[in-house]
Amino acid sequence: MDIIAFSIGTLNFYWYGIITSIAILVGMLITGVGLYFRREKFAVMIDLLLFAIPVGIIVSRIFYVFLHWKLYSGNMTEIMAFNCGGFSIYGAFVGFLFVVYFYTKLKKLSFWYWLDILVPAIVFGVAIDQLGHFIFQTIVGIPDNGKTVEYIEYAFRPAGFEQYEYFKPVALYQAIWQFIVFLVVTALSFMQVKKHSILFGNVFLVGMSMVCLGRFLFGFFYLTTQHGMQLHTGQFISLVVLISCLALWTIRTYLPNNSLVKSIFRV
Amino acid sequence: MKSNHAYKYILVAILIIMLPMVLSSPKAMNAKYMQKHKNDTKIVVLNYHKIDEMNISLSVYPKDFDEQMAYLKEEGYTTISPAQMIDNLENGAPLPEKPVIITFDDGYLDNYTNAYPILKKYGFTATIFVITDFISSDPRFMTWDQVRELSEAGFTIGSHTMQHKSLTDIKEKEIRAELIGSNRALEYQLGKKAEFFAYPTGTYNLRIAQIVKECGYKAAFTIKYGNADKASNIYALERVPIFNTEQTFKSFCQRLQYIPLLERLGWIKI
Repeated sequence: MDIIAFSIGTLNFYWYGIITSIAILVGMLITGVGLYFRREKFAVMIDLLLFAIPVGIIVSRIFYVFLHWKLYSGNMTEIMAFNCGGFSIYGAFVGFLFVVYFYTKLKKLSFWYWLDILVPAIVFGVAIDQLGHFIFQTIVGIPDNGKTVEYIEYAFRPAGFEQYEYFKPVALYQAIWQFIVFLVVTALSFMQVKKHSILFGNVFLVGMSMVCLGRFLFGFFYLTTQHGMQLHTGQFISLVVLISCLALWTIRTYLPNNSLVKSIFRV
Repeated sequence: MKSNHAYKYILVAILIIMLPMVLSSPKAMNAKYMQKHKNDTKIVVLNYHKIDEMNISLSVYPKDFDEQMAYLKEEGYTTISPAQMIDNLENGAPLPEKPVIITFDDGYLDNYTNAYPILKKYGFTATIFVITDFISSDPRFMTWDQVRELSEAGFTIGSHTMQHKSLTDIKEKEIRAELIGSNRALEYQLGKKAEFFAYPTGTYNLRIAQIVKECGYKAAFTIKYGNADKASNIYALERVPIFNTEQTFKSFCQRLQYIPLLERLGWIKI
């Protein structure tokens, strides 16, 4: 599968970027529907995107370079070589979160409320990202010879596993899980709007908990060449975020009247 | 107010259009892989054994073979040699629009008597991997004179070992003897070394592939179903086997077109 979709002169257009752009456009549509039902302004989403896209790319690159420092410490100019790949989805998410936080603080909007509006599109984006990993063979599962397996081309097999041809389609399974989470989050948003029964922010926390749970559990089927650690980096990050989200959810639901909690997490 | 917002929509649109130029790949890849080769094509390597009327799966009827070659001609395919393919994969040398390599394994007599005239008719070239001990000694296989004639007509003659033993069943010393012995026979008979190899019964492992490289071959073919491209191991190149079935021509067409699409989507074997 080729990395470059097409080129105009010396300018290359990459499949990964095209898929991300399409995911953003679909995300805009999904968020737009949510904004319509909540009778909110479309302009806020445009403002967020204006900052989130460049910030997301930069933070995603910083995270990737940091997480794979061994690749860059010897040759610092490689950090600017965007055309050789290397973007972390965790970094993109953190960058996005920063933008939402600072924007809502600046415009005096409710941070948790807007996270709930944005979460369906975020989860959808995660699902598309996993589908992309499946198609481009960038996430490889454990070698397998069963009925449902993915053929990984020689160049994409992790070091030491070149003799295996078929692997578990872990990324596909994860994409399916994330689509299910998307449906759950959409249903919860619907309930929140129609029945006013869900605290603002809880849809986001439940959604992210499920996404991280999926990433953590499926992570055990990833073929990783990291030595020493029981969990690889992605799993570790997902576990931390999962626990944080669950903790936040518990605190906000069961201790809403605690003055310390109130001062930190403005409900 | 309205005009205030319009510029933001335009900026977001520009950012979304620019994303495909910036986001190249989630994983860092080496620079050579990221370059787009001119004529970046996937190469179909067809794998035949016998062309006669035996009505077994490894033997395609001559009239079916003719039909398949006519189809390739009509659809604008150009037959190339493995040397041209390696030059493209390693050095980025250009290839014609729809390249295809036609290969035959074992070196059966019917390759010369039945297949060669049909290939000549369409102006096609092919590659034959011969079992060197059987040539000119087993009547089911070609003679060295016939192999020489094919070689002089531009066909690529490769090695299929001396005695067609499965390389995973024998020890390293014997593997080297089979690989080097067959190449010596080919060099003696044809006046030039063989550069390409096909694993008998398709069995191999990475250690054997390394031995093939050490014995001086430039590339090796397996019977793994797939297309050869820059993501392949050149000592374990994929091929498309063509069998004699209930609907030989239909499955031929499917195999020619089918794999590229499924490979692109991440092949699932269900």
